[in-house]
Amino acid sequence: MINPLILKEVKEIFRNRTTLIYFFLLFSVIAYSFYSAVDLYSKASVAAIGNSLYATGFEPVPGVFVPTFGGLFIIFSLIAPFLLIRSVSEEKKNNTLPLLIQLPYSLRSLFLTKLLAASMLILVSIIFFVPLLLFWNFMGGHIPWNEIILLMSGYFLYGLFVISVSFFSASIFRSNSQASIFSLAVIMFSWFVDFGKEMNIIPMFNSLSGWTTTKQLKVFESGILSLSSIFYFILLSSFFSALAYYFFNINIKSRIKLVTTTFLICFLLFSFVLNVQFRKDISESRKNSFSANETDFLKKLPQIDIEIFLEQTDGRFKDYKNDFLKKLELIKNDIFVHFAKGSLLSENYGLFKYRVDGKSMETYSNSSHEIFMVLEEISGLKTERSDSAVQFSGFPLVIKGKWSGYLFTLYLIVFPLMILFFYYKKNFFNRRRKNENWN
Amino acid sequence: MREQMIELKNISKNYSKNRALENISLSIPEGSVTGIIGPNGAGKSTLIRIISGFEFPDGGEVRIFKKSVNNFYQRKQYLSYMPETMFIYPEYYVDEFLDFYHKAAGFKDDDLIASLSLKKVSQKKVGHLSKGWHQRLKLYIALCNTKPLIILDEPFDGFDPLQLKEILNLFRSQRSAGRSFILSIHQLSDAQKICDYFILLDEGRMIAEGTLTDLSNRFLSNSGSLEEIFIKALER
Repeated sequence: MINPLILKEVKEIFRNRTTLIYFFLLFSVIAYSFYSAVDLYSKASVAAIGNSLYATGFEPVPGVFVPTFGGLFIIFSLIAPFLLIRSVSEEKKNNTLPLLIQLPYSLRSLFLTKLLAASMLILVSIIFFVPLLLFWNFMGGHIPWNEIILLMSGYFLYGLFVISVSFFSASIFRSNSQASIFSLAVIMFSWFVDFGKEMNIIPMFNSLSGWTTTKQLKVFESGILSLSSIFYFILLSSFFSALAYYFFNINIKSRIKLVTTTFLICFLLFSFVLNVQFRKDISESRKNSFSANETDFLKKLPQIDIEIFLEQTDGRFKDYKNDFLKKLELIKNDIFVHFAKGSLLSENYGLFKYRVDGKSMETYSNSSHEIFMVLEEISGLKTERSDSAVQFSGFPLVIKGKWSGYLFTLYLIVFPLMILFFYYKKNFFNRRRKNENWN
Repeated sequence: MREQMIELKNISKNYSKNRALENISLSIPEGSVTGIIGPNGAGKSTLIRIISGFEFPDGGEVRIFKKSVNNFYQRKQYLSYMPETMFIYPEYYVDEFLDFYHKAAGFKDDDLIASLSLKKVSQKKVGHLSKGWHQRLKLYIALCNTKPLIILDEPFDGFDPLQLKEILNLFRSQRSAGRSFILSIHQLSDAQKICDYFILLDEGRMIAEGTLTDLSNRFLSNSGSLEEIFIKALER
């Protein structure tokens, strides 16, 4: 038999009308994002029919599933908090906590049950992406399961972060509107940091930007299994959940000590998370990795110092980072990257300086091919490189994009009707039977 | 002589710079129906929350059945508390809510359901109940257990005279079954009908405690109603 408290919390979340609106929005966003992504993918695929070389650049995860999950990101960030906040704030507003804790439940179990029920909402939201995979498969697309599972896990962890922030906001504010605005501000702080970094407005944002939720979510989207990113979300969610619990718990006399201790513990753990180096490229195309020979070569090299004479906002640096630096960071932990500043930067703008084992060499090129030549020169080691560094033959092309139009029927008509049916069944049809039991 | 059920020693409570309770020391006898009375803002609800363990005093000690108990979890086994401002889940149907409550509590009292006539509203949503019926539902929750002490904040609000008569009878039968009550009441006529022990508060201080006779002897030259005692006590 299911615990009555779990049943109550799940009911509270799933059967209210706000949840209905949440799901209708979710379905619309999913259907539209998937349709647009598949449409673009299909149109672009037509050009690749005649030339298989083009086909290697088509990947289902970055091409279709990441844009589709982008819709979920918006829903989780901007809509879910309104729904999740209710779970805690209604209890406070109606003063029903005294009722619940006089039952054989502790405040801790009550809070954990709320977290569990909210996690189910996140999980169900993600599950509604499964029909898309079937559709994609039906249209001839390939499903790289490793990457899809990683992507879903990343969004689930992001969902946990949204839950914890929403609960925290609901615990510290009396009104729903204040709590909603506060949680949106916390969730969207990552966006401000990213934007600030892009625009180079505040220098502090450059160092913060690597640890924003959006950046960490991108790690999952790019097919890299990173323990530090997993720990990052778990730690952040635990931190906000702990704070939420302290303010939710009416039986705590002094919260200041608890909040300070939790902050210090999380700060220490966060320092540990920064140093967890386990990162693995699990993409089928190995898009985040060098070829096997290149990897062997780089592993043989001692510590590499790289001095970059570019602004971090410069497009050339971004290309360099994506094509070379990120891949290098997956292989080697002992890389030191410095950014030149002041007159040195302006005088040598565009230069990359590499130092290995006391020897150094400079180049203005940001292409991997040139960089490997430089590294070979200064290390005295040779590697067998081929132009086909990406030996992946490509995913099947999808040109039957028009089929995705049927999705609108499923997501905008069938699923909403299904949800409405269950809503009314639970609230009205089943009542007749219950009433008979009571009378 | 009856044993002391609750003992409060030097209880004080402040909200920022506002004094809510100041040095309250009192004893409440077991088996009594104690009414905490006083004008608005006297500190009745604060005192009730402190006795129940839902609020921490800034200073002082609360002893229940001669045991010093600091928080709600320790008091939970002795008492059942119903706040004035609690609104039971408005989206639930009454029968649905009671099903949840019975399953969660592992306890059901069919006689009490019948006494409070809750079956009449079992198919209504809690949010659609009138104040009186909502109060009945709250009373059911407060009484549906085997705890010896029931603490209720303004339990008679929203009842018409007929309903009140019915509820007072229920209280009498519960009391004769051995239960003790602490009630915060602002309707003095109701308090006089049901309570046999009174605590009179004003501006966070205890003005007096005792039976109606004790209070009459102290504040009036001859016997009088609780209302007369109340006015006289506050005038001093």
